[in-house]
Amino acid sequence: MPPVVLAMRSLERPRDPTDPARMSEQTRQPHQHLPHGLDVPAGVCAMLFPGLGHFVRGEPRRAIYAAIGVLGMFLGGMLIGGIDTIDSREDKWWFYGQAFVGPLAFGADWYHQHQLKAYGIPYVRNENTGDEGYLTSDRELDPVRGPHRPRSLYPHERREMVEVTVFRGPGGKRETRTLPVAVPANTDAGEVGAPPNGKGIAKVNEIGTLYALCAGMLNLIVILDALFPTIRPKAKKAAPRASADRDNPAQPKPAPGSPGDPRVAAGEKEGGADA
Amino acid sequence: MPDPVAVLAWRPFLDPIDLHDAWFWLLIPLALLIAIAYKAVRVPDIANFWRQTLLFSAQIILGIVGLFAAALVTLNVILPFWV
Repeated sequence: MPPVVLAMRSLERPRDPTDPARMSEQTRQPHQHLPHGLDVPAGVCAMLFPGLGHFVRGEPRRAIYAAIGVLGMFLGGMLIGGIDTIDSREDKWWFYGQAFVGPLAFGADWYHQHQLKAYGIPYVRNENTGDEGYLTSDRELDPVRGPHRPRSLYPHERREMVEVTVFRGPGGKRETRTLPVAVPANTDAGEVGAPPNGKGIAKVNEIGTLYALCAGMLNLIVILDALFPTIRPKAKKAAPRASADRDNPAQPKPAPGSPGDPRVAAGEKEGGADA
Repeated sequence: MPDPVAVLAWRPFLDPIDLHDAWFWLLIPLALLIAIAYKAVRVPDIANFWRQTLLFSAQIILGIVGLFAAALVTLNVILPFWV
């Protein structure tokens, strides 16, 4: 068929996205874009947990597969590189991508920051004032730039809650706080304890971080698909037509490729089959 | 060969796993998981899910191997010859 005729026929086709003939064509040609809808509750659910949006939309198989993929990558990353791969302070640019996994990523980061890290405050003795112990100031405890900010522990350290003397402001007002501090694990009595988690280094840390980042990026796709779901042809529309054909054999056969064609109906069923 | 004592002392999800010598094998499950998550939402017919997933995984792995080969040739053959 000449290209001009094909072009003219394409102009004559109905532009309605819900038209069955158009849908059957799209089913046969997966590279064409299908129409999209808007489902805000499903989008919110997808943000809360990977795959929950599709589950709410009534697509449990897609939900399970999406959850397996995203959670497998996120937990796999933590299994490979340890919880050190989720760190909003030391690897903040990576965490921006990992955060798309949802509350799970924020929970893991919170646990890492508040239950595993410790302040690097040294035990000192001031000969002039006679002060002794863990001494620091508000400025030195700054979580971003302070020299005594919370950090991962070294292999020869352990985490311990101790009383720290903090000097506040220019006047040096003294107050005592109980803070987690990195203290030496090796004492005169021998080694006592170990760091609560291991610091990831080298390739294993990179691969673990990459796993968790890919989990976040893929979950962004899952969230967008739940929020703007692809409207796929449904199998229910084809069923009455096929049954009508069986009930009335004297009815003339539909033209090949037309909406009444049983092959088109079968194609619609495959395209919309889920759950 | 990993140290047996280190393996016994390993705490899952807290300590990094000792696979520094075999890290590149970890790209295979990564490719598979990426394909599972992506095809879960993009495959038009969920009945074809596993076939599409395996095909996409193979494409990712072949792409990585191709990049590795290209980098190997560039660094070991082309650049020494050129510089």
